[in-house]
Amino acid sequence: MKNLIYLIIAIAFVNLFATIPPSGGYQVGDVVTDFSAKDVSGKMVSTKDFEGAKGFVIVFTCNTCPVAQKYEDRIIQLAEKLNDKDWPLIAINSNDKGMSPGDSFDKMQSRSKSKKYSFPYVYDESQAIVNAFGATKTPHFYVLDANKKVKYIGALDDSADDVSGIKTRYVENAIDAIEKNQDPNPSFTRAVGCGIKKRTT
Amino acid sequence: MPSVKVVLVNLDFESEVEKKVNPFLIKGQYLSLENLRLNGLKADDWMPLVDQDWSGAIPATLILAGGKKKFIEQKFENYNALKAAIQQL
Repeated sequence: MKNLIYLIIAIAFVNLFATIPPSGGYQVGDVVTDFSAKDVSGKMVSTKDFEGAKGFVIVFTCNTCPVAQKYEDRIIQLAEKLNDKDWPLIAINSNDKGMSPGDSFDKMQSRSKSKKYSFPYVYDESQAIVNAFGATKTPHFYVLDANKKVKYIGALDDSADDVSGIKTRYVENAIDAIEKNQDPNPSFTRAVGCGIKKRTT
Repeated sequence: MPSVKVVLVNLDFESEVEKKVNPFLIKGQYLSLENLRLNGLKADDWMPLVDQDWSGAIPATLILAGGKKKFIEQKFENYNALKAAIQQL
């Protein structure tokens, strides 16, 4: 009889764990904890630096991924557009440099300089930020509101390969929705991207 | 080790098929494997069919064996790691 009780408890716990989504990190609706990292300028950049921001666009990206490279110009253009609107865009490279030498801090600095990035491009060396967010690929976009609540996660738009094929600009639409106090729809999209090179040990 | 069929599904950009994908298949001698190419479908439509929790990071591997499935959303360190993942199923 005792054994039967223990068996039932075990099943109940298994079911409880089964309902917790296996993907960790921030989901839509979660509030992001302030973070900081070293920018290509040499200075530390923090989400706390942007008092009064209407929202944030956080993008996990890197130098080496072909998909991120396709999106680079669009990220640059978006950042320039957002500069006037009090919406900081922060680009984060979380790739381990041992696993991806083309994404070292030096290489980030060269890239930012040669393409004249007008936004912070920070190095998540400890991978604390990518682990907190649960970002899995590059590019991976998170749009936060003024309270740093996650309102959208996913792709910038629906046409990675070909700018002329874009029908929906998910991140821009999310920004417009947030400014109108509405929820972005969709609030989550999937897209192909290069897995972020995370250290397993 | 049971017999294993390997299917490669290419997700590269259409614009890169000629200059990148075909040379890669030839150079790596992958032509004896089943090579598929997926293009033109909306990610939100087809990715959940592979795995509900997949947000799109590649490389990714779906292992199917006797009705069981296992989805690995990262690179295998080496051949032994891949072998172990198959054998564990």
